[in-house]
Amino acid sequence: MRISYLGLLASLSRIDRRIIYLLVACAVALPLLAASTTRLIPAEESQSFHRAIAQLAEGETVLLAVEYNAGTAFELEPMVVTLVEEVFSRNARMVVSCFDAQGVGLVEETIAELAAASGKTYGTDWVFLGYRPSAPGVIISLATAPYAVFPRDHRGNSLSDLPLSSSLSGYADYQLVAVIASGTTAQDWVIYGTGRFHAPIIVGLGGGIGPTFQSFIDARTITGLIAGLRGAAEYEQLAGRPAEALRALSAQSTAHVLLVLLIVVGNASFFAARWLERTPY
Amino acid sequence: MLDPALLVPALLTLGVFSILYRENPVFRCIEHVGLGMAAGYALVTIVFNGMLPRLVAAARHPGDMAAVLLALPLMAGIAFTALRRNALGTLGVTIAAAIAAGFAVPGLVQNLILEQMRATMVPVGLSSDAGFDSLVIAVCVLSTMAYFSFTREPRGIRGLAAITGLYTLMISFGASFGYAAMSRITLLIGRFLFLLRDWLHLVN
Repeated sequence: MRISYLGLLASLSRIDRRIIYLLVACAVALPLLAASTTRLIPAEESQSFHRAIAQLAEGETVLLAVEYNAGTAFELEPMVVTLVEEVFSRNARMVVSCFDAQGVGLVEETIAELAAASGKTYGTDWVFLGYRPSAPGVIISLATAPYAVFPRDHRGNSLSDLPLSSSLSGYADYQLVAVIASGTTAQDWVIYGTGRFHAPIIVGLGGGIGPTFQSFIDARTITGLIAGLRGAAEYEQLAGRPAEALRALSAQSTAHVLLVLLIVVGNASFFAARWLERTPY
Repeated sequence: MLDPALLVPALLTLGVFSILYRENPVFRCIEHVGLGMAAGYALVTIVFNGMLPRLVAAARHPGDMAAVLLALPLMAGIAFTALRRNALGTLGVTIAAAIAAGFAVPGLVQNLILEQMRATMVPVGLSSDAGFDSLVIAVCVLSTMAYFSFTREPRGIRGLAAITGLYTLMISFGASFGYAAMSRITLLIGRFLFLLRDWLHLVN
C-alpha cells in the first residue's frame, strides 16, 4: 500500500503541463470574480515612500521619471496613478520625463487623464518633457542643464514659454524625485542622480528587480521603495486610495499559494520517483 | 454588452494564450505583429525625439558650437552603424563611451561600493532588532566573500563559511526569483482583468 501511495505521488511528475496552466488560470480568475480584497501591513520602506509624498507642500515641484511600456504597464501604472493623484491633491506641481521609448504615449495619456480629473492645467501644474535616448545623459542634464536635452516638451512647446518650466535650472528646482521604473533606469538614477539632486529620491520598481534595491534603502541612498504589485497595493492603502493594485492582490496571493504547493508537490514527486527506482519491490 | 472596440485586443490576448495549449500559427503571427509594432514605435520615438532634433538644430544654427558638437557624435554613431567599424564611427563611439565612463565611475564607486560598505559596517549585537539585523548582514557578507575566496581549499571553518555563503546566495537568488514570479503573475492578472472586466464585464 505504501508503494502505491508513492507511485501515485511519483506519477504527478508526469502530469500534463496544461493542467497546471489551467490551475493557475483558475487561481487568478476566481479571486477576481469573487472581488475579494486584502488588508496589508505596509513595510517600512513603503511607509517612507508615502511619507516623502505626504510631506510635500503646496507649490513644491516633483520630478517624476517613468519607465514602463505596454508589457509592464499593469505592474507600474497603479503606482503612477496613486502618486500623481496624491501629488495633485496637495497642489504640488510635477515635471514628468519618460525613459522608455515604447511607453511615451501611455505615460502621457495616463497623466493627462489624471490631471484633467484633478482640474490641473498643463504648463502650470504639470509638464511632460517626453523621451530622450540615453538615461544617464538625461539624468545628468535634468540636474544641471535641462534645456540642453529638453529645449521643447513632448507637445512641441518651448519650455521657456510654459510657466512651470520657464525657470527650470536643475537640481534645485525639485523638492522630491520619484522614479517609477521596470528596468535598469532606476539603477541609473542611483548611480547618476544620487548626489546630483539634493532632493530625496523615492523609487517604485517592477517586481523582478525589487530585492536588489533593498540594500539602497539600508544604505539610505534612496528614501522610499515600493516593489511590484504588493508595493503598489501597500502604497494605495497608505494613501487611502484603494484601486487596481489592492484589487488584484488577492488573485496574486492565491496564485502564489498555488505555485508554492506545486513546488512542494513537484519535489515530493521527484523524491518519490527516485525512491521507487531504488527499491526493488 | 460587449464593446466591439475591445474585440481585437481581446482576441489577440486569447491568441497569445493559445501557445499554452500547443504551438500554432496564430500565436506566431500575433507574436511577430506585436514585436514589429513595438520595434517600429520605438524607432519612430527615438528618431523624432533623439536624432532629428539634434541634426535639425545643428543644420539651422551652424554657428552654435554646442549644437554642432552634440550632432557630431550622433553622425559618427550613424556612420558606425551604417559603414561598419570605420575610423570616424569608432572614434565617436569611443568618445561617447569615455564620457559615459567618466560620469559613471564616481557614482558607481560612491553609491554602489562606498555607501554599501558604510551601511554594512555598523554595530552588531543581539540586544536590539537593528543590532541583530546588522549581525545577520555581517555574517552573510563575510560568508559570501569566503565562498568566492579560491586561494585555499575550503576546509574546516573556511568550508563552513563557504557553505554559509552558498546558502546566503541561494536565499538571495530565491528572493529575486520569487519577486520575478510575482511580477509575471501580476502581468497575467492584468490580462485577466482586461478580459473579465473591460471586455466581458464579469467583474465590476
